[in-house]
Parts: sequence; structure tokens; C-alpha cells
Amino acid sequence: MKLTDFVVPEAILPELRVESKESAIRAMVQSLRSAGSIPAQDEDSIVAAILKREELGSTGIGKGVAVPHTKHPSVDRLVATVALARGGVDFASLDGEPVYILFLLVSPPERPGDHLRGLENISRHLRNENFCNFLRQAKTRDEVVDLLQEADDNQLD
Amino acid sequence: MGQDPVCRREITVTIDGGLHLRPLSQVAQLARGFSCEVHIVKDGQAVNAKEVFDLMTLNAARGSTLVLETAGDGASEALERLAALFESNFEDGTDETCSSDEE
Repeated sequence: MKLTDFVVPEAILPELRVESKESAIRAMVQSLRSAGSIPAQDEDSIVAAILKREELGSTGIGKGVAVPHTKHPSVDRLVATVALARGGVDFASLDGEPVYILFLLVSPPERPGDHLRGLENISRHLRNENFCNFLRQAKTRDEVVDLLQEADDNQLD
Repeated sequence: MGQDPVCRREITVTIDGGLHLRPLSQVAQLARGFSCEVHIVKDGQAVNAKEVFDLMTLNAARGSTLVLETAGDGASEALERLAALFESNFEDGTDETCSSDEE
């Protein structure tokens, strides 16, 4: 599985400006809906499910990264979007630091393996400092897509 | 200091949905409470169990076999506590599910 297999290019938000974790999640889900990757009628329920998951423990995993997610029956494959928040978002992260890079994932409940492979993929690439640094500097959707592609092709090592 | 032997135990992942982020966060939190080294090995690849980022790369589905490995001060206690966490299926009193089938 590659990043470009499940990150929806049209839903990427290269300049997310929000005041809160909830606004960030809402904006990202809305972007997936605008891109046609989730049904409009399920947008609110997906946002609610992701916020509920956050109550169990923040998905701010440190190093300025968060991976909010949920399983939801409205999708038949793993879909995700990326948002870059230059000003940082308070995500109640494990290390207490704001997050600058967000990957939001929605996966079908009956395919837990896809969710795990998605997380594996994201974390493996984000451990690469080049990828992290370039991503934080990206300013347009196209730049983010190019970076995801380069990461998939292992061109950033 | 640091004279404890390396402790190892093989375990099977039995939690529904495999080792997703919430159980992995519990593993990291527990491991960080010990000064010894704590690693989890899958398919010959060892990851630092104190780092959620590293743990996420395990991609351990339900049924996967992992080796818990601790070394240094308090290694045997760390191994016991970690194995117990896996055996309890990560049920620490918080809500199990993160699914959201709202009809």
C-alpha cells in the first residue's frame, strides 16, 4: 500500500488555519466530502465518530503529527486526507506539542487490516525527517501530492 | 545497573482489529514507565516500544506473532506488565470500540 493509494489529492488542505482540534477535524472531513470521497449525508456522523475516538486518547502522536481517524460504514475503502497547519493546532498530543501535519483516515469497519497498513505507511514515512520537513514547507496541493509520490518512490531517503 | 539479562516472550495479538493506535499508545505509555530498553519484534524487525511512531510501523494484525523484549533495569517486571497488557486485550477500563455505526 502506498500513500497515494489512499490519500485523496483533491481533499488535501495545504494551508489549514483553525483555532481548535475540532475545527481541524471538521475542515478535513468537509474536504473529503467536497472531493466526493465520503457521502454528504454522512459528513456529520463521521466528524462525530472521529471526535468520539479522540476522547479515548489523542491521536496527536508527537513530532507535530496527528492521525485522527475512524471506521465508518459509509466508505468501501480506506480514504484519507492531509492538512498542513503552519500555525500549529493544539491537539492535546502525547508530547504536549502543537501539531502541524495531520493525516485524517476513514476506513471500512470490516477491513481493519487496511487501517493498520495506512497507519504503518504514514508513520514509516513520517519517521523520515526529510519527508517531514519538506511536507511542513509545502504550500500547495500539488507540492504535497509530489511529496507523497516521492515518499512512495523512496526518493527522499 | 543494567545487569539484568534480556527477557523475551512470544505473544499473539488477539485484540480486535489488531494493534491500532489506542493499544499502541498504551504500550508506549507502559514502556516509558521503565528505564530498561523495551522492544517489540515482528518478522525479525525490532521497534522501540517507547515510541508510538515506531510502534505504528509494526502493522500487527490480529493473529500476528510478536516477541516482547526487555533489557536492563527492571526488565523482568517490564516484560510481565507488558505481557499482561496484551493478555488483558488492552482492556484498561476505557471503552473498547472506536467504531461508529450510527444508524
